[in-house]
Amino acid sequence: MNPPRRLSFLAATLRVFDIGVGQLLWSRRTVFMALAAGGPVLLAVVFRGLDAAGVSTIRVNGVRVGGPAMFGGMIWLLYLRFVVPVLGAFYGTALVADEVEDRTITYLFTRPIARGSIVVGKYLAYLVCTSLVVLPSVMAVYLLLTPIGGGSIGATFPSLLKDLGLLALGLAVYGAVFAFIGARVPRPLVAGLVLVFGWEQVALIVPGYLRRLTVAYYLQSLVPHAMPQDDTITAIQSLFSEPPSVESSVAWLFAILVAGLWLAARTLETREYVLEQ
Amino acid sequence: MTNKSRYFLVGSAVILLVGLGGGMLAYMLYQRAAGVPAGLPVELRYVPADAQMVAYADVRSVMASDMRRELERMTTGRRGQPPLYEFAGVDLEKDVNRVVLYMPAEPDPPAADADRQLPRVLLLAQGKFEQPRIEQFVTDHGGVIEDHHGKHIVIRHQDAPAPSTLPPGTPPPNTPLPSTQPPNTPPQRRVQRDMAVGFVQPDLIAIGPPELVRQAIDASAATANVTANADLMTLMRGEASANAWVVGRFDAVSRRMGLPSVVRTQMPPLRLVAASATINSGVKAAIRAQTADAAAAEQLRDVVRGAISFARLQARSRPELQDAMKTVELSGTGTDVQLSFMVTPDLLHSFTPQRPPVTPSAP
Repeated sequence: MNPPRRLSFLAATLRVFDIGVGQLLWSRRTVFMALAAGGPVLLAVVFRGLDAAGVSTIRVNGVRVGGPAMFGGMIWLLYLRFVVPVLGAFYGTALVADEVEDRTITYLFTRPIARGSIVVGKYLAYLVCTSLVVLPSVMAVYLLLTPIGGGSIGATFPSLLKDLGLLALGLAVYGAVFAFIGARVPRPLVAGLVLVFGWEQVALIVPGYLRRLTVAYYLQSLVPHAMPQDDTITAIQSLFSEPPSVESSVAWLFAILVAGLWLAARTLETREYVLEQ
Repeated sequence: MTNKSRYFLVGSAVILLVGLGGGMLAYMLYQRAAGVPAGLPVELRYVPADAQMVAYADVRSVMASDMRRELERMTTGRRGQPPLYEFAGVDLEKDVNRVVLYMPAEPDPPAADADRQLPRVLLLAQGKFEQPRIEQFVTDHGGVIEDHHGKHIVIRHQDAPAPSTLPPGTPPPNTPLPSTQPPNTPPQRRVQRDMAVGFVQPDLIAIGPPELVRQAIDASAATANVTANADLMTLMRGEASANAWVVGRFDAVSRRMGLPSVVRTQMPPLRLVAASATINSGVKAAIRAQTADAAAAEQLRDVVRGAISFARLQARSRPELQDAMKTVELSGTGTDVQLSFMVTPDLLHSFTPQRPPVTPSAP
């Protein structure tokens, strides 16, 4: 009997991607993804409804905040600081960790495919699924909020394109980083949440070069909206921040993405996973 | 992949594409309504058709340029404090993408007042702005908020002091102070005008005299803008590739800027003038002038040639200036005169005084 033919890296990746999409979309975590993506849309519907009823929704120092400013605030406060990093942590760490926890990783390793293709295929599935959930949510929020207060969809459309691009890039980079953490660390979700809500927040406000070791530092420099000065931490961040150029931010983010994926693939190829009995 | 997953992904992609398509359509209609040719800033739609001078700067690219960093290094030194580019709650380095400035058409002031009245200009800045912060800044400095057709204008009257700066017991600002000058002495200071900041769009603010700010807010697709001014638009199209340029009617601008009449009468009759700079690792500058007739243009070219020859003679002893003079080019035909040159960081270094080396003090 001939041994099964080993699939090429690309073919194996696509095969894993095909299976991974279904696993990702219809898992228990999907409820959380639906909440994370649907919450801002619900909020936007409420704001739009109040505006249609003649109730001015948000005022800052007595000034009514227009739709584009509200959308910019939601990009900063909801999507960039919460939805994207948390989805990256939840799903990115689960790419390998779920297989280990369910003790199904052995079956993947017995297949005639490169171990690295497992990580890359699952990562692509994560990227496609989260992008096609988060980005339509952003689009819906944009269309609902922008006309409030006389905002122009045509005038602000270029900013939306930048927002969509940077959120997709954020999902990609965080996913790669957390994929590595998931492959490497025993309790990756805890580590991921500590990274997002602990390390990144502290490093961004400490003066010096520490902030360059965060993903948020480069992502925030790409945002086309004014950073809302809502709290002390934001104010401190803006005080000490020297934003990098757009080109260097994009270059560093791609470098982090490639490094994270490579390290995750390398870890899966070299590490012996001891499954708990 | 199951059919359920496939349908879900396709459905999400369709929602995204429909939204993007609708947004793109809205953007194209917006651009079309603005009527501004490609390559020129959209803010030109707020510049009236009879503007005498229009200037533009791509602030973001200028701030990111190597030349600017080099200038900053030269002026502050290696360990010097970088200059703050913040004004009225707006950080020029981080918040502003581009600015357009124009000088509207106005009757010339009386000759006696020509030196006292500043020309009125309006600055339109596009970028990311926090309206509450800017309004707070201006109101802290004595400004008042006015509502104009649903948009806020913050006006600082020229005689309004900042409330926080007045010490207790200080007489109110309108109280005339005893004059120490002899009677009938004309005041030397230029007349200050009220200043306003208006939020034309969430990402566009107008700074200047209140009436011009109101005019910018009231501008719509129906009002004529500078795109109807063929002379200025021709100049602007020629300079569109630069990241900073200024175009204008020389006669009107020189009168309003207070250029002495003695100087004005000595110059050949210039109709239009344009200057541009492409700033990256150096500055590639170009100046273009349109004269009233070909004879005046030839006369101007002769004057410029003479100046270039004189400068080349002076530059013989300085190699860095010689390299700079090699980049100077004079061209143009008919009523057009064009002068272009390059400024490099090395040239600027040659003009700045060298700092003495820092020697450590002996213990």
